[in-house]
Amino acid sequence: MPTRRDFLRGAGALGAVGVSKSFFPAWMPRLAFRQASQASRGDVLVAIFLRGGIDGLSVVVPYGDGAHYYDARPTQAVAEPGSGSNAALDLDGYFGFHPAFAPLIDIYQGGALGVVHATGSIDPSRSHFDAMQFMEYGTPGSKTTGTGWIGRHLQTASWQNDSPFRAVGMGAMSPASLRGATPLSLRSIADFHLRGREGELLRAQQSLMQLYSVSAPQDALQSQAGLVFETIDLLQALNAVTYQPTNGAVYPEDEEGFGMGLRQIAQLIKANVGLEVACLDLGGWDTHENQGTHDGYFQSQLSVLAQGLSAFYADMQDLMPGVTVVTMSEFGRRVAENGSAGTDHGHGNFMLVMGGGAQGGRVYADWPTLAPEALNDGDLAITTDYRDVLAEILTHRLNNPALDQIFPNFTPTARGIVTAR
Amino acid sequence: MPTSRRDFLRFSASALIAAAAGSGYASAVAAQQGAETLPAARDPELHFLNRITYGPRPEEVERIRQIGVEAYLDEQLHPDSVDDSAMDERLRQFPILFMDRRTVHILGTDGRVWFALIRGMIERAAASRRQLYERMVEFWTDHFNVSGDDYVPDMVLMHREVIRRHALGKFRDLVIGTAQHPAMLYYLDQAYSDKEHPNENYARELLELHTLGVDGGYSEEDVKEAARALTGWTVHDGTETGFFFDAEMHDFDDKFILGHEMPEGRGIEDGLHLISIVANHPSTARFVCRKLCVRFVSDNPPESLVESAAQVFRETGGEIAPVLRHILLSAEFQASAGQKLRRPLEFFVGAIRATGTTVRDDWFYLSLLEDLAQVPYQWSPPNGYPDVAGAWLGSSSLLARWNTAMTLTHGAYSEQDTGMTTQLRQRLGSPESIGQMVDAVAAQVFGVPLPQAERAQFVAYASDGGDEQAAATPRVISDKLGTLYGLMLASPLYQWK
Repeated sequence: MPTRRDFLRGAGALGAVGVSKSFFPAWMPRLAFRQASQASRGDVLVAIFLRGGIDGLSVVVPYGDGAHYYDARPTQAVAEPGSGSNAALDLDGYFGFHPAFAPLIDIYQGGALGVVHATGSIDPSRSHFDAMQFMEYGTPGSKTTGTGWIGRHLQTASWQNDSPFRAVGMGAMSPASLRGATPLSLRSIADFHLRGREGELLRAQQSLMQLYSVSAPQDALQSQAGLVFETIDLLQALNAVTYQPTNGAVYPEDEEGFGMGLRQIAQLIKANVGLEVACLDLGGWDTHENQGTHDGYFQSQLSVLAQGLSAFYADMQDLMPGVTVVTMSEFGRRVAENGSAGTDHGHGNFMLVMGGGAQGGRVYADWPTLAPEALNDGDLAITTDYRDVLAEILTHRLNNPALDQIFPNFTPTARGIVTAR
Repeated sequence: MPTSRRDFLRFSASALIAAAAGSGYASAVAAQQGAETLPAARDPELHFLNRITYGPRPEEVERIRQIGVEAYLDEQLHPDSVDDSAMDERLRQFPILFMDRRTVHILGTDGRVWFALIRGMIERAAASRRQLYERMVEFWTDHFNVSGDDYVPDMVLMHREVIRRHALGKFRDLVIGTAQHPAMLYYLDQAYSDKEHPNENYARELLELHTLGVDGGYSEEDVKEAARALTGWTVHDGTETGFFFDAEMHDFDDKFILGHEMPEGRGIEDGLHLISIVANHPSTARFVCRKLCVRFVSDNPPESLVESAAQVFRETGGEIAPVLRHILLSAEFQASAGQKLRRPLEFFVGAIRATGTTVRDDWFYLSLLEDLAQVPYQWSPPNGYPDVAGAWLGSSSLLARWNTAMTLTHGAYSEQDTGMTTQLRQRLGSPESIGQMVDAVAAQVFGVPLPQAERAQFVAYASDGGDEQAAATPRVISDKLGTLYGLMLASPLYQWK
């Protein structure tokens, strides 16, 4: 489809008309919302979902498995470290990063980035939609949970926070993991305002607020309307257009907006507007054919991920010890590549944990190996439930011990991936 | 080689994927406040039009008042009986939609092909008198979703030759038509699947999304066997339709799928047998009927209705029109007023219908749809745009509706030349008072008079807090008409139907 990217902003629509703050009624909390201190609420959580099922065996490469890996991947394997320019970057003598992850090597070696492997959601589904839902609900196998694991975290937290930015989903909509909270969905800070005819706009806004009963919302649509007005007001104070990342951070300018999303999350964190949780997606991992592990599509998409994370790390600087970034994907991909130089849906995968609390610089894996008898239906087995990782983040970094409600009917195993605050 | 649907979930709307599924959130939302006060709750004919059209036009309201719901439905279920010559005339601006396969492939992935596909779909939804037919075209476009930059000519052809041809026909024809269409064969990687390395992508989605449904009772082993049965179903430019069965790619060994034996030595018959099995599977009847009920009735439709519709589906061998007739005349349907949120595309098409908007500038048109996050044929994953309110209730999404409403109703005030014209003035008539002006706009937007509470709020806006007797002077109309229209379209009353 023809790309328009920047066509729209600026051209097209009406001239945007600013909204006077004095217009807002007294009930609106403006910047005076109750916000817990970071001492009580813990880290800001940035949860990144790699949608489509990323090929973890090409990201955190088990070159130590030797023939079990290389025979299954005649065209889509990453060579072992030291074997040329496209070789893996060694992590621990057994696993190596894909070369596109070079921007993350220093962070890994510095100890702020940890890797978990052979992890994921234990439900055997290879359906994108079911697997994503199970993972985001935090209840593998159950579709009727109705709320997401992050939503339940916010519900059960011991502190209050009235900020509309408490939980933000970057993008047009909020992900399932945030259900149960009242998340803000935010595509562009700069564009988040009401358009209308100058001279009529304030009256129009007043009418809309009445029509949506925002002072006493009684359904989900009305709640969202209140959130919109509140957010318009707050974002005006942020001076979004002039934001400049610091410390030489350069966010990728990818089409999907992953770099822009991370940049806006950094901006919200720095603005101290009450952000506790931000969710962000990077998709495009459903590489059934022509995966392009070495110099094609997968490689460039992986670069976006690595450059985004490394820019965010640089931009956050001194604030990074108070931020935890975690990545996940609904499932990994089959060990054996298919006939289209691609990979089909699999099972076990990797996760990244980045932030001040990460006990990084190592790969956490109770590695089942890729030996044929060790596989789960042809796929990497899962030996670390992804909830083990999240449970540690919740208790150690987000100050929420209510695991029985966030992950019901699950007893996490301590893995030592993050330290307590 | 065309790239496949590798841009899975690349749009900003990607979180919608997950939001689309599941029922918990949706059910909390469906009980929105005040549904019983909606005009449609007391007006079965209006409720019916709200659901089978993209927003009722005054002439449609008039027609259904004359002949009643059942006769109106039977007209709509026989679209050839509804004169649509004005629509045919308008479609002459999109000759690409009518090109033969060879010619449209010469244009290739030219942007004009994209715009013809997207605009053609929306123009038809907005202006066709065969509204239910267009709603079904949209339904099947979601159900058999295809998307991708490299085979847009095939998408034009699949839309015309499969989706539009069978939208009110037999379900099985849709399955076989999409299964053998280059757009689908490329999109879900079937075109590259061979006996050495069967690609499971299409086989899985055929079972999970097109027929049985994810809980329809198939196993991972069934997926693998189905993929083997379909090996060799591929694309070749030399055939009339683009579909080609390549025997060299096919796995001729025996297979066992969903309890059915497929003996060794069969070729294309394996795939045809598979489609026959899944199209006639009882889970398919329930799955497809449930989706129809979600589209036309409520986000959590009563099981009684799903079951009775599935029975009609089975008894008729998957005839779509009688199933639809059953659903739309059911008591469950009649009791569902106000339970559906307009999807962004419905909102957009409805706003175009209410305002009489035309847009010449393709990019401007596209930009409006992108803001709403529902550009036709731009949903990357294979499950189609979501259908439930919970998926579309985000703050960004709501703000985009408001701003789209204001943009469509303020073309006259816009400084940029967007090539946009509206019929706001032309449709207003000659109101003498503010009250009459509000009522005239409401008739265009809602098709019927407003409830008192909402009417008072719009009167308050248009009169600057005065009363409805105030004169609708040319100055008032000039200052207020666009925003009044925009406010009605942006109001919660318009989002629910």
